[in-house]
This record gives sequence, C-alpha cells and structure tokens, in this order.
Amino acid sequence: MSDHIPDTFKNTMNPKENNSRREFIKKAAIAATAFTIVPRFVLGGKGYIAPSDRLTKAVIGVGNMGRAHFPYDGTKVVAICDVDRKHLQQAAAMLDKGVKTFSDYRELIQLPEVDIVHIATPPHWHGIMAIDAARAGKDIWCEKPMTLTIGEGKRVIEAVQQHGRIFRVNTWFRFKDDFYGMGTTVKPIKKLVDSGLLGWPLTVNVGRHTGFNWKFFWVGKDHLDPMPVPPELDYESWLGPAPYRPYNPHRVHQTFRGYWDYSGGGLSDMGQHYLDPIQYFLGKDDTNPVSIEIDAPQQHTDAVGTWRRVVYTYADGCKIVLDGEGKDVDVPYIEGPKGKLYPGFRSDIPDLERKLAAFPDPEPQMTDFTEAVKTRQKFALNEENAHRSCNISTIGLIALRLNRSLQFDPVKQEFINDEAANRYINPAMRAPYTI
Amino acid sequence: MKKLLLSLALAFNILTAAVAQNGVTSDISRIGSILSKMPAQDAVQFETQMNAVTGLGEDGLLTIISMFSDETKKDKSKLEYTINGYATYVTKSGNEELRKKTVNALCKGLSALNDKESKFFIITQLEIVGKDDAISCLQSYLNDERLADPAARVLVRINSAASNAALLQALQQAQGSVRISLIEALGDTRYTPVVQFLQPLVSSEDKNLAKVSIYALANIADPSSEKILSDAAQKAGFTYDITHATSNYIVYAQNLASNGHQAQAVKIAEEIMRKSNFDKGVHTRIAALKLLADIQKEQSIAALLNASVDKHPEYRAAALKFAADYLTPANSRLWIKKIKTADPGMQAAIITMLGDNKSKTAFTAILKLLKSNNKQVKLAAIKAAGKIGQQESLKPLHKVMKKGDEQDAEAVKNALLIMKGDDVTDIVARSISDMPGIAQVKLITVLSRRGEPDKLQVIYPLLTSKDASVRKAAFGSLKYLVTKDQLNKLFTLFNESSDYNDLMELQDAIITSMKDDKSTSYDALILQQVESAASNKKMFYYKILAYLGGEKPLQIVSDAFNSGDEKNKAAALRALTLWTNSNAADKLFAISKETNNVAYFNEAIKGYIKAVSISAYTQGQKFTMLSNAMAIAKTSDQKDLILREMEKTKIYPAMIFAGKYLDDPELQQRAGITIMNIALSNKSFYGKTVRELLNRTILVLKGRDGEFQKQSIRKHLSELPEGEPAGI
Repeated sequence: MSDHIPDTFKNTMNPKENNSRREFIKKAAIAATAFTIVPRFVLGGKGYIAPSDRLTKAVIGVGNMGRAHFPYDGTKVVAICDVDRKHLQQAAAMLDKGVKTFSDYRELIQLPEVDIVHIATPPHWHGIMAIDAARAGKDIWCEKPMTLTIGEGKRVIEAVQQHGRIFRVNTWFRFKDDFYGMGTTVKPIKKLVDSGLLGWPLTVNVGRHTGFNWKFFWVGKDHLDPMPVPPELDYESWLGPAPYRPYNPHRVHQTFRGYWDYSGGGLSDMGQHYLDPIQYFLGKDDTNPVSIEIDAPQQHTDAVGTWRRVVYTYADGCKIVLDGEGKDVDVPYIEGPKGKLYPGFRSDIPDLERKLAAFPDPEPQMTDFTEAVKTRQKFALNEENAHRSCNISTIGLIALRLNRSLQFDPVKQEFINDEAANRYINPAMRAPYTI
Repeated sequence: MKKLLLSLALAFNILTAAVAQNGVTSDISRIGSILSKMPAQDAVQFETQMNAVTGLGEDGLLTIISMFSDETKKDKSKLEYTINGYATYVTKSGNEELRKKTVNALCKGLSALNDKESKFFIITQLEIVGKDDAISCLQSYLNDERLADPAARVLVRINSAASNAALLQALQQAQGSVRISLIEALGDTRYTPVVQFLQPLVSSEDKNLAKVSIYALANIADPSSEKILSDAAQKAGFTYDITHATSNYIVYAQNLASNGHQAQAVKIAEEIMRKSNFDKGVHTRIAALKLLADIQKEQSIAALLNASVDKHPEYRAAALKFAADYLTPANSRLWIKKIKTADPGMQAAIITMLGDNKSKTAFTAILKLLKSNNKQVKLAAIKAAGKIGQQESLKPLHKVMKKGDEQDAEAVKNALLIMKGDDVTDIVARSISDMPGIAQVKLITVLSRRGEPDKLQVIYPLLTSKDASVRKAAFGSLKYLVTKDQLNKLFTLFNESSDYNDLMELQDAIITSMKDDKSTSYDALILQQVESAASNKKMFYYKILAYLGGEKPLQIVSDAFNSGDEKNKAAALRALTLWTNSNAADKLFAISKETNNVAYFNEAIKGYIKAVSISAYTQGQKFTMLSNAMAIAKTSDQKDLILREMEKTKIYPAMIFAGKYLDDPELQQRAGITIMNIALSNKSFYGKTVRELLNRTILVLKGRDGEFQKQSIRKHLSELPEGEPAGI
C-alpha cells in the first residue's frame, strides 16, 4: 500500500539523470533560452558552501515524505525545517553536518543560498508556504495535493507568476511512468484521445477494476480524546492556519489525512495523482467539471469518511467516474461513442495502434525540474494545470462534506447557487496566518 | 444487534440527562431513534433522518444541542453527525425557513453550553448556516481567547455591514491574539472603516500585529495607506520578511488598480522597480514589472522590451512570459525587430516565445532565421516554425535537414512528430531518398511512428543502404509498418539475413504481421520455417513460437532449452517467459526446480508466477501453483512477488498461507498487506483464526500507511460477526 513512496523518490529523482557541471554548461550553451541562471552555490560569498554545480534545496517538513526527497540528483539539501524536533534530528543525521535546521519555515525561506524550497508538509500548509516561498524569490517543489482549498490555489498561481518563480507539484504521471493500472504511460492515451478515434464526449472510470486504489483506510476517527502534546512537537505551529483543536496523536504525522482541516483522505491524497493525467489527456488543463454527483455515507464534521461513487461532468459532457467500491467490473478505462479503451491499451477498436500511429504526437513537455529552474521554463505540471487538477478532488470533497451533489462554474471557480459550498472555497485562516 | 442496543442505550442516557437538566419535553424516543441511526449511510437515509430532525422542531434541535453538556459522555460523535448533517441540510436551496430555525437553535444552544470545545463545535456549524441572524450570538465570543478566532471566521463568511461592524466594535477593546484575529478578519472582508485604526499598527514592534495590519490595509487598498505601506516595504528591504510588507505593498497596488486608481498603482510599480534593483531583490522587481504589465497591458511593450535586455536572467525570462500575455500583431513586429539587436540567447528566447504563442505575424521572419549561423537561434527557429506554420513549414524544414547536422535533423524530426496535417507523412516519404544519411535516420523514425503501411515502399530500399545507421533504422521500423501482406517478404528477408540485430528486428516484425490477422493459424507455416531454418537461425524463431503459444511450439522451445548451447538456452528461456498463454507454466516450473544456474532460476520462477497470473485457472488452482513456487523460491524478492499474486486470488487459504510470513522480517509487510486486503474484501471471512491473523497483522504493519491500515483493520474487526462461520 505504501509502495508509491519509494517510487515517488525513484521516479522523480532518477539518479541517472545527469546534471553534472559539464553537462549543465553544455546544455546551457545550446539551450533555446537566454535565461540560464547560475545556481546560488556558484555565486559563492561569505559563509556559503564551496562552489558546486548543483542547485540548492531546502526541505520543509522532514517526516517520511520529506526525507525521501533529500537525495534527488542535481540538487543539494542545505536547510531543513520541521515543527517536530525528533523529525528534525532524524533528518539532520542523514545530511551533511553543515545543513541548517529550522523550526520556523519563514526563517528558512529567507536564506539567500537556497534555490528551491521543497514543501513536504501536510496539505493545510502547502498554500501558505508556496506563496511565501514565491514571495521570498524561491522556486518551489510542492507535494500533492497542491493546496487544501480552491482559494489557496488561486493565490499560489498569482504569487508564483507575479514573482517569476518556477513551480511544480510532485505528481508526474502526465509525463512519466506507467499510469497505475493502465499498463502504459499517459502519452499514448493522450494521443488516442486527441486523435478522436474514441469519439467525444468521453467517460473515464477511475476505480479498482481499472487499476486505481482509493485507499479508504485514510479515514479519520469521529471521536478523539484530548491528549497532552508531546514535548518534541510544536503543535500550535503544526496546526498553523487550521482551526485550533485539542491535540490527539491521530491528528498529526502519518494519520493527518483523515481530517478535513488538514487533508481529505484518499481522494485528496491520491486524487491529484489519478486525476491530473485525466485533465491533461482530456485537454481540460484550463477548466474543471461543471457538476459533481456523489453517493456516500454521511460525513463527519471533523473526520474524513468513505464514499462509494463520485461522478464529475464537464460542460461538453465528458465524465470522470470515481468508483470507490470497485463495483464497476469489466468497464473500460475510457469510453467514447466510437470505442473503448481498457487497461493495457486494449480496445474494441480493431487495429487501434496502427490507426493511431498516423496521428501527431502530443506536444513534448518540460519534465526536468532542475533544468526548468536553470532555464526559467515552465514545468510540465505547473501552478496552473496543477491547480485545476487539484480542484477536481477539492470540489468532490466539498460535495461530500455537504452531503449533496453540486454545480460548479469553472470560470469563476465558484459553486452555482450554493452559498454553503462557496464558504469552503476560501475559508478564513487562523490568525496570524494569511495568504 | 448488540451494537444497536448499546447505541440506543447511550442515546437514552444522554436524553435522560438532557431532560433532567433542561426540562425539555421533546419526544425522547424520536430523538433516540434519530441518534441511533447516525451517520446516515446514503442519500435516502440522510433525507429521512433530516426530515425526522425537522419534525422535532426548533425545541427538539435545542434538546439535541443541550446533550453536549453531558459531561459523562465523552464521545459526542452521534450528536455531531446529527447537528452537522442538519446544518448542511438546511443550507440546501429552498430550506431558508429551516436554516433560520437552525440558527436560532444553535445560538440558544451556544449560550447554554459551558464547555468551550462544545461551543467551538456549535460555532463551526454557524460558519455553515449563519447569516446576519447569527451575529448577535457570536459577539460575546469575539473577545474570548479560545473562541474569538472561530467566531471571527463565521463573521468573515457572513461578510455583511452588520458583521463587519460587529468585528470593528470588538476590535476597539481587543488585545493580544484576539486583536490579531479580528484585524485579520477585517482584512479578509476588506472593511474600509478600520483603516484609520490600523495605520498606526503597521509600525508595531509586535511582528504579528504589524503583519495582519499590513495585510488588512493592502486588501482594503485605501489610497491614504500608500506612504505607510511604502515605508514598511522599505523597512523590509523590498524583499520577504515575516510582516509580508513587500508582497502586500504589491497586493495593495494591485487592489488600487482594480479599484480605479491605476495612476497611483503605476507610480508604486515604478517605485518598487527602482528600489528593488539589486540581485536579491529580483523577484520583487519582477513582481513590479508584472504589476505594470497587468495595468498597462499592450501598452507595457516598451517596459517589457527594455526588461528583455536586463542584466538579470530571471528578469529577462519574466519579461518574455509577461509579453506573451499581451501579444498582438503590432507588438509581435516589435519583438521581431528586437531579435535583430539582441544577443543569440535572447534571440532564441524571443523566437521561442513567438512560436509558443503561434504568432503568424512572426512566421516569415522566423523562416529566415532557419539559416542562422548560431545554433541556439537555428534550433529555436526550427521548433517555432513547425509550431506556427505546421504543414506550411515542411518545405523549409526539409531544406534545413538536407544541409544540416544531426542536431538540426533531430530538431526537425521533433517538429514533424507533433505536426498536424494530412499530408505530413506523404511529403516526408517523398523527400526521404534525397536526404543525407543523418536525415534519413530521423525521417525513418517519423515514418515508423506516424506512417501507414504504404510507406514500406520507401523503407525497403533503405534496408540495403550502405549507411549502417540508416539500415539499422530501416529494419527497426518494420515492426511498426508491416501488415499480414508482408509476411512472405519478411520470411525472405529473414532467410537472406545473417546479421544478429536485423534478425531480432525481423522476429518482431513477423509477430506484428501475424497479429494483423488473428483469424489465421500460422502454426504450420512457422513450424515449417523453423524446420527448414539453419541451425544458427532457429533461436530467432523462439519468440515467434512464444506468440503462437501451442503445444508443438512449446515442445520445440523446451527442447532448445534442454539441449541447446548457452545462447539457445538463454533465448529459449526468455521465450518461455514471454509465452502468450499459461502453457509454458509447467516447463518454467520444471526449470526452476532443476536448474543450478541462479540467473536461470530467477528468470524461470518469475516467468512461472507471471504464467500463473495470466492463466485461466481457478483461484484455488492458482493458489496451489503459487504455494508450489513458494516452496522453491529462494529470495525475498521472489517470495514477495508470490505473496502479491496470492493476494489477487482473494481466497481464504491464501490469507492463511500469508500468515506464515508474518514473522519473517523481510516479508512481514507484504504478508500483512496480503492478509489485510483479502480479509477486508470478504466479510464472510471471520472467526477466531481470522481475528488472530488480523491482530497479528496489526502488530506488524508500519510505514506511512501503517497507522491507517491498522485503524481500518480494527474497524473491520469491530464489524465482524461473533463466533465461527459454518463451512470454511
């Protein structure tokens, strides 16, 4: 079940992707850009670590996820931050002695020697930290989901673009690796969809039968007794912008995903992995569905629960069906009026691969984050399209919290005729946290 | 049933206590019934339950809220499901009267409760349902250290003149963290009357107070705040600090512009650009440039052209990104003009920007740059020409390819692969024979990726090219292009060839050709070819035989493994692992049992596991076959794979079998997950053995998901029937 953690590391940080100084200079010399920046280590200066060709990185949140992201190629960790002293100590022990440690990320992002800030905290911190990092002039690698709310996502876009930063969310299936149960990368799926061979509109099924696990064990407990905060944890800072609630260990660290204030269970955590490629191959990177229908048990006000089915419909009739129970047996992954595609690229369209070959490939994507940072190019999964794919999970979660289906305006990014739903779009933060 | 009775007893106890305390005379049995059925399991049940709550009336709702004060009951989840469910229910369109009654009940209940965490819960419900009717009952909490923040959040959601006035009134008396919460709330709602109060607080020594004051003033964007916010940004050094003075000065200017004060906003943008013109301030300077571009739109071209020759690469990059947002035919021409004076790097960047934005105005100029002597410029021009011109750019791109080097050819190839147009491959096919070898290799790739079978006529002559790289590319393309009609031709090529790589490619091409006609049996034809093939060529048929998958092909490949030399053995074993059906399973198992070669063993046993996986055997048969594999498996990697396949069977014996590995440090995580996933997928698996296994699994699971997994197992255990099932 936790297999994707090492994969995350492996898949996104392929050590064979050489970013040596020589390679860097060679690439820089012919890159079709005028903007190749010099990593901050190279600039040198008092107190800086010896010159190096690598980009420098600071990691905020050094629990399991953050620590898994230390060693990716082409970067060097120079600073870490965590509100749990134990995490900080364990993480520091894995790194060079010179690494700087912080309990307040606002100090860390002011370090002049840092190029990239990697945000590996629970999601309720993602928006604030990404915005602050952009305002501090850092490029940003953010864990999924991109943000907890729609409002935060919109502000991340603004801050990143306003300050000319490079941003990515840590999911990669739109450009790399076999896509869960599909037995193929997303590229040929995108090519197929673009070709029109399946017809239009399309319905995409994301459930156990098509190879996707919604991880319903990531649910919360609907009753938590208050408990003393362990001395190593700065719980106030852990909560940050979230409403204050008495401490219980189930709220924090590995089990935080079960609580609405910090995450939204499997749909929030795996949702962006599963749904981002769908937005991409449906050509919906700049929009979102217009309706969300749910079938689920009633949700608790604090603890995230399970659901059976969520169906999203776009304005043109395309649908994404989230099958939580795995009841959809023998359904195709994608179904259109002219044909169906099953896991393993099987299809009811005869001779599909040959027919497909005649069509143009999808446009290539910028898939090397360190290269994107050095040459100031937009990364494949950037602040804009990642916000839209994050929105899909988020609007589904809001429907679940309200125990009803909803209509959504993807242009205004607001729910239609539902004030209660709109109150979840940009909820006020606990002071003094702001975006 | 036992659980239901316990729940009802619980509800009754709560109710009795509530009635005793409040003298409420609601129908106890109705409330007890509602609570016992919470949470609702589906929309129908939810509707029924909410209708039942409606039937209780405001007093009944108040009675339920009063139950939060029962200090003997720590678990309030049933009450929370009921109140929260109803709060969401009454916000549905058409329920306004119910919403008002709910707010009334919540407000009355709020004042009657003593426990702050219960009050917190009620306030969070008002955040869902409250409008102006909730303001009065929240006001008394706006100076409460614990509750000011949640109460202020509700007022932010309401965001009316009355709610803002309530926040401002509370602010006059507030201190410490409460004051900070209220200021932030008024910043969220952009309440102008608070401006005079906030302006002096910007210079406070309390950084949090200064921060939220700056935040609020920036959001409200009163023109009178300019000097104060400018000074704060200056104090922060026009970069990030914890008061957010610099970023909020930019936000302030953005809001000024949105409110119609464009001239003042432009002045601020220019001020920030001047004052942040130092290396570490580049991100601030970029933000000011964006501000300017967003206000002046197409008119910002002069500033952007100027920025494009700035000393800082990030600033130059930002200028081009902002330019793309406001690109017109008129300013495209200015960018083209800029290309003439810019350095090559910047030329390439401008070309890329124009290409990415498909600027038709720039097409002719970009075509001229295909002849550039600078490699950066030329490569950018190739890419941009393809994107803008699509099929129109084919002729000039072919010219580039004809005279260019490998980098040029690669760039053209990439442009062709994404190029739209019905004639792309035909034009490529017509041009290929006149191209130099470097270009031919690239164009073969284009044809094999995009081409139709009729393009084979231009590929066949290249199979005999004197250029080895062209020949290799041509052979490699066959598997993408051939159909059933080429089978005989492929056999001819196969028989004529003696090159290892060519034969490997032909092997794949023959399989493609056979796949094109699945209605025909090719067994006899292939067996005849194998029979007549020279001994050193037989191994190139093994993969083809694996595709056929029959008994006779299996015999040939098995014999090759048994009696062949090392090359034949390796090829035969590889073919067995690729077998199209499960027919090779027995042979693979036999090899696994008999071989002393570690590499062969690993390949054979993994091939066996795969054969079991794709087979049509029953789950019970698969379990037996996998158990047999486990008996001879040697490494944890192999055993892990077997346990994964065991899990897919979802049968009881597989779960019990996995239990044997719960104490093995290297396999216990996989075993635990196997047990969990099988047990949780079938509620007919219960009884003492299952409970023991799951409890042992709870002790073992760890890692990021460990706690959640344990929790879901515990939940499953709590829902399992007592006793032993019959017949397992």
